[in-house]
Amino acid sequence: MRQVLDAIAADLANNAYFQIARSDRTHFLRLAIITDPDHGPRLLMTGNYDGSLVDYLQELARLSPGLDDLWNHCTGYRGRQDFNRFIQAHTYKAQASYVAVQGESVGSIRKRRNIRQKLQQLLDLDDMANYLDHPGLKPLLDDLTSLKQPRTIWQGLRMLMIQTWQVIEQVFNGLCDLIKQIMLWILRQTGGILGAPDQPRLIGEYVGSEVDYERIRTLNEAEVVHGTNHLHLLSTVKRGRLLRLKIVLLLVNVAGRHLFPPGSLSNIRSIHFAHWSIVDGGKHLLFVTHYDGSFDNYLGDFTDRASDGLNSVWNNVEGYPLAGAQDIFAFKQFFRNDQQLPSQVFYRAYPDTTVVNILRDRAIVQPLAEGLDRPALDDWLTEP
Amino acid sequence: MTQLSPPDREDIQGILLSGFGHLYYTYYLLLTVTDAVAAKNWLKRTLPTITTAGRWPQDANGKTIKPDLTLNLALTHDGLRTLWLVEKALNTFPREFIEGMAEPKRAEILGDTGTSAPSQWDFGGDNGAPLHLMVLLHGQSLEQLRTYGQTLLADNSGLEVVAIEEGFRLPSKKEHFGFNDSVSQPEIKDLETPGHDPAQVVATGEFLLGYPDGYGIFALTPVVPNSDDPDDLLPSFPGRELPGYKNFGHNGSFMVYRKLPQDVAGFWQYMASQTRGADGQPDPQGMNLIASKFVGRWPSGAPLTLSPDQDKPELANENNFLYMPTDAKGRGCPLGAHIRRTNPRDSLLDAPGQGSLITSSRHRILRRGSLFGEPLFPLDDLDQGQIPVDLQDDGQSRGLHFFCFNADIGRQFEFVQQTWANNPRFDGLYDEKDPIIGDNDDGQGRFAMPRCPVRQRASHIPRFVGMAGGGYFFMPSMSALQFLTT
Repeated sequence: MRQVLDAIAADLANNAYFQIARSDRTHFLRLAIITDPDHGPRLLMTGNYDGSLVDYLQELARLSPGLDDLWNHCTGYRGRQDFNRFIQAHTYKAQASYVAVQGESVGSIRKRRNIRQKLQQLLDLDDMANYLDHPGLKPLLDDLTSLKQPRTIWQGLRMLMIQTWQVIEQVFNGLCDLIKQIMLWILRQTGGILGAPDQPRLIGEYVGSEVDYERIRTLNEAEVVHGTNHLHLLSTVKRGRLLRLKIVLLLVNVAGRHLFPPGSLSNIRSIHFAHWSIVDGGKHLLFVTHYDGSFDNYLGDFTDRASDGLNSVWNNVEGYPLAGAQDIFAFKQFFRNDQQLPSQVFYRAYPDTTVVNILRDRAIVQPLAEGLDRPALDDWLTEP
Repeated sequence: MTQLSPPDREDIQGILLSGFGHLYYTYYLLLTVTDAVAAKNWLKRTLPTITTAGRWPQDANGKTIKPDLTLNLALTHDGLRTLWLVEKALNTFPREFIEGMAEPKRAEILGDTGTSAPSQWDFGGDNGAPLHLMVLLHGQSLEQLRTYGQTLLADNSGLEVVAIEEGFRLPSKKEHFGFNDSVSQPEIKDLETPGHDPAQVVATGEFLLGYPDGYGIFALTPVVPNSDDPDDLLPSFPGRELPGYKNFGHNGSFMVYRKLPQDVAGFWQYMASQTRGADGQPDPQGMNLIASKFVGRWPSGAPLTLSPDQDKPELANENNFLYMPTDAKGRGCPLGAHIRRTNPRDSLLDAPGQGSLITSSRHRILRRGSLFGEPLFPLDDLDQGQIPVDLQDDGQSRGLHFFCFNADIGRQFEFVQQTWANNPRFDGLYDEKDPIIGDNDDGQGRFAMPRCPVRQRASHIPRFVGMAGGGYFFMPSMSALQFLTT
């Protein structure tokens, strides 16, 4: 299996087994061999995809000339026609999940990026740049935006009704916002209680200990210096803490899905996806995430802006620092210790596009798209 | 407000708390140990000459007597090992320091690639003798320093010179491109002077080991077991969390040294190429504006955020400002400008305002340094609007001896370099690096300048600042040096 995985990783689009890079639906996909004393080696596949799971599995099967060569190494797999059942039978649902930009497909993210790049290139053309620099342009724009259509009495009346409606809408928006803020406040208070450090410390937990830097080097080696990275972590749930963990994840799920604005998990804007799943009958907590930039930046942001929330999730598992995320070295080390799992295969549909880029592309391209009515535009452009 | 105690000041090496601004010349000895016993004895003899951060004495009239020559020294991990620091202690240092600056992944993180890769360095890189020790001298003239430097190693020191670097500083505090380079420094909490901007105050433990850092906890610090310190030279830890160990790192700090050659002619030629009009002539005002946009300050040091349209020398040393109130969109100081990347203050878009200030304060560095090579043009004239429109390279090497101190190289110096300066997608940007220090080896750098009516974008930016050698050092306290030499 390792040989097959290495071959896939070596050429994600053209290998003989699983041509994941040709997928239209996959945002991220990883294959990792994980080993623990209870189960021995297992294959972990994690992915973020568009549409339904059944459709997605069909696409994956279609992209896999060597489907059997890969999955035959797994117990219980009975051939291509069994792929769908096999995967579904072994799927874990996330107890808590966060998707940075909901409703964006791989296709729409790429399309917006391409349009934005074209617009930028257009602005950078020498002639264009000179023209835009022209002192006459600003007055022209000022004139254009100052023009108002003469208004009839009926249009005035209509405007008045629209404005009244807008006021009502604002009141409702304000109410919704208030409810949201109250819920967030309650969650933050809860996080503060459940995430209080087990034992506040003055001196970092790792001071004086000999850290296994060789392991960190191995994990660090595969990470890109600039671009999207990933992390997955399999931790052991502490005895008697499963229920508490489940409650916390439920709250995280509500917050991640409904309370934060797009692209922001508690003011952290570098996370594409994050999933927490309780696996192995409540024994382990599996955390899977994709983030922009460096490991140090990611975990630093966590500590700076979400330490209570993180503490309240991970203080239910073994090995979490006593002082929580504020013990920044120990906190990073918790993610680097033997619970972090390296991947054999890692595919990213848009490796150089950050969450913030996706949102900015949308903000740049969408008003244009919505302001343009194709037939009307054709008429406007083609008339003499 | 707690303040560092006088005994602590006597224990801390002087350069950590003072840039010795009154001494204009520097002399750096990069050394390798050839005879460990002799080197240890040499170190022991040299200890009394080390300049500490103890308060300078006053003469009868109450005037401070400043030293006319200072000496400080720092060691690499290799150096500490060679000088027989106990094995147990060697393994308690942070990874970045143990691996050193030239390790391949570190070089990638730092942007030390292409002609700046460790294989190309003058010292500290893949070739030549390993760096063990660095002696930093500050003085009143180069002659004084040269003489002193020669006598220093004359008497069976067990040390061999790998490189000697000389430097100087200008009264105007300018670097070779012509910009005032000394304005932004963090204010250390336990040295806080009244009236300073609270936004610039950073926890003492961010620069000195053995004090709470920005997270309220002691950062990783090297330790030795109690049994290895029978003479009780090193301090114990406060509280009861680490009873079995002594803090070797206490009052010490990690020092980053980088020799950074600057392509001064290339820099100003690039500015000229960006402003050439229909007549083919560059526009000096335009050149000055774009160069200043790259930096984020005007040549005098005045921040563009406070003065977006012209240099204002009266703001030359202004550091008490934020971005969000007046310059959130970057129309004064662009989002990708050098100073906005290396200290984003309140403007990180994850959490603009207070949240960003906290994050920024956890990635600060304390800078020191000097220049090498003769200036290529009259730097001070820039402030009067004399822009070098037709600058030609003279083939001489010039640049900056960059030093910084921090408690956690990975979280401070390297973070600034990787996550902020060289990150193509810093703070929501698309594809550009720090226009001044970015590793634009391919000559395809970009830099967006927001402005009305339409944003401007500079492209084909080459690498202006290279890397010619350096290393990660540890600058121990006086007691730690005593421990090392006993």
